[in-house]
Amino acid sequence: MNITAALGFLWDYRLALFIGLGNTLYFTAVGLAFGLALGFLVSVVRQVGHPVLKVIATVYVEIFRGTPVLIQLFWFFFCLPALLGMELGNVFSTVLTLSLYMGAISSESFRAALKAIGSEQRDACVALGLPARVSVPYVILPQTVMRAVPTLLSNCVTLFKESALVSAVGMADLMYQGQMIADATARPIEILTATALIYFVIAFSVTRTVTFYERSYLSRMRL
Amino acid sequence: MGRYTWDFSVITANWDPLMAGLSVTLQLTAICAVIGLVGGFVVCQMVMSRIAPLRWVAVAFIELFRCTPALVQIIWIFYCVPFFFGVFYDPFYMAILALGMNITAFNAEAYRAAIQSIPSSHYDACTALGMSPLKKTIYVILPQAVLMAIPVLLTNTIGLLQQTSLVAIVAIADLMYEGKTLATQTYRPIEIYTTVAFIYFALSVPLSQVVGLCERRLRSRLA
Amino acid sequence: MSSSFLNVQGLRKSFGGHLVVLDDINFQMEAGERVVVIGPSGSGKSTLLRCVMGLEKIDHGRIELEGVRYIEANPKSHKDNFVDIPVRNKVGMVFQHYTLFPHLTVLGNLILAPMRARGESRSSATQRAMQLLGRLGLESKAGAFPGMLSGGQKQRVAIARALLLDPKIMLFDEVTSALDPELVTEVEGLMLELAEQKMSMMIVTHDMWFAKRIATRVIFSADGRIIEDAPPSTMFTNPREPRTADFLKKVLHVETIS
Ligand SMILES: Nc1ncnc2c1ncn2[C@@H]1O[C@H](COP(=O)(O)OP(=O)(O)OP(=O)(O)O)[C@@H](O)[C@H]1O
Ligand SMILES: [Mg+2]
Repeated sequence: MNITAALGFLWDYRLALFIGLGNTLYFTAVGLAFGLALGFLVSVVRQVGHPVLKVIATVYVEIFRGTPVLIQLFWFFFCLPALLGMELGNVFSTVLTLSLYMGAISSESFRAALKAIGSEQRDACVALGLPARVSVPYVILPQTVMRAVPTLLSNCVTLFKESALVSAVGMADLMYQGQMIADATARPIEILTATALIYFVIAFSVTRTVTFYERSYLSRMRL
Repeated sequence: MGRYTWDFSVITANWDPLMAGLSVTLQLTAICAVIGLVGGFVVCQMVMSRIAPLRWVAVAFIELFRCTPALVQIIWIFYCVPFFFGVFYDPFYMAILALGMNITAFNAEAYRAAIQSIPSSHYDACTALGMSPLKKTIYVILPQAVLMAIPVLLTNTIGLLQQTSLVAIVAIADLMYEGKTLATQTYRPIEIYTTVAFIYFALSVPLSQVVGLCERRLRSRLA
Repeated sequence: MSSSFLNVQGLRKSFGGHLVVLDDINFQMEAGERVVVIGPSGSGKSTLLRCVMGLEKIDHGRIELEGVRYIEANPKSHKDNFVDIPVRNKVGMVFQHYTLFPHLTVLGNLILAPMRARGESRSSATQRAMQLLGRLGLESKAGAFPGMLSGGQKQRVAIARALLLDPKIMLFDEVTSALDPELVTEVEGLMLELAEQKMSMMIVTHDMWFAKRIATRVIFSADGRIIEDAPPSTMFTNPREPRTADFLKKVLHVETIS
């Protein structure tokens, strides 16, 4: 295969790929923002909430972790609007699914981090006379976040990769654009390889950052 | 809430195709799970091998499959393998190839993390007991590594079960695909997608219970 | 109301309602006393200190400091204990496993409570902290994270962190048990220094020689009760109770120490 010709061919379709990437990043970013907030809330509810709320939170997490994201997407695209008897809009359904999925997987990361803070740390707070308004923001929260960051970043990578599924419901993300061009031009190799590489470069950089963070910060503090 | 009248007779009427789809899903999961368990260990050994090129190939393989969406992998293999090799294999085998390599990469990481978590004192103890490197690997390292890796391997297998739903996008008649087809044919997406989601969920939950049990057992055993 | 400095009255503590760990403990100490608690493992020594610190919910009894009741059980309802937090904050405690905050530097650990809980200014807290660290020879470690310190240094920082809050009494729960032998002396040395300054202390230790050196009084506890309470000279050479003698024989492998 001629590399220059392949690159030239890709160059012709740069705009379409760029728009796809933009959409992928947009869906991922919005899913992240809502998902992380929801995940933290759910983890706190599962730790200290009212028993009924705890059950609801647990069922929510288990459902979204226990079913394929693809069926979740289909459900929020085709079932929820029919059940509610109103249009939700494709972007809304997409972002809703990704946020709920991210909320479920990140709540587990937050929960593990909260649990990992030993009771000894809480004892030390009492012995130093730290009231909750001091111990929560200055002792518990920083340690939770620092511990959770590596898994949360992997969750972000997972969400980024899972977002490719929105192409199956016709959202014009990177995967969708790649497939469209491949079908239209009958030259799948160049375009699909390029698509894969774009996903790879982004996911790989984040993964490396996680490793770096773990080595440099967490090991130094022996958290 | 719109007044939607649920009608599950559509499920009983289409029970056979759904079960046929489920059977394909389970076959895919089982075959790829076995590939992943064995392949993951082999790739992990390559990563830790003393021969540098073997190491590079294995690391590149792992990173490539972990840092791109599974959907991209499936589509890439479906479009590009026939192009490169000029043959069309049965789509079912192509799906096994894609999903099998995907879980192999994730399992290799699980094995590696487990082996690295074995304290170096165990290696020293083996040397002190005069064990040969091979015996050391077979009797001390391998059993511990597998034991420690079990929870993550099982979690990966649950992930695999859910990933198999992606083959519906390339028209392999698994549970997801049958659901999709029936949903459009019968105009009853709500009942059908909900049932399909429930089936995946019902398959995942027992597995994730086993994961929890394994983790508790391991913790008490190693405590 | 009693005139004792620390007064523990009818203290009862159980876990899960049936495992009674402390059973009707009555105990007084005067300011400047250094009470060492000894006894078999699981006899409730740590639990006693944790109750005095207010870390455990007690089933029955009350605890007073300088004549002011600051912890009292609520026997009728199973609600939380009554706790007078300002009085409880006059008690300081150091634990076996350091319990420094790993995400804060040594200085950050020291000034967190004075600044955030007591409203002291950063500059004043920092100044006092650096002075104290200087006295302990730990000035150069002010910017270090706890993970970078030796066990002995960590434990001395933990003691400094408690001292910076000007406690009336310090509780030490096996603070040298997790340390390598050569690091024990630096921590014990610091505790002996505090003894010279007449700090009131309750100390749990398994080191009988250190107990003998630092104690003004020794308490032997077993099965959730105080079996014997005597000055170190009597306790270690001529214990009154046969159980005390038995215990000392086991841990010392000799009849008595002199
Ligand atoms: N949080 C808890 N829940 C249940 N039981 C507990 C708890 N903490 C302590 N115990 C039990 O209370 C008893 C006394 O424990 P404690 O730690 O006070 O003993 P100790 O005298 O300090 O022993 P050691 O010398 O081993 O430190 C033990 O039987 C212990 O198992
Ligand atoms: Mg103890």
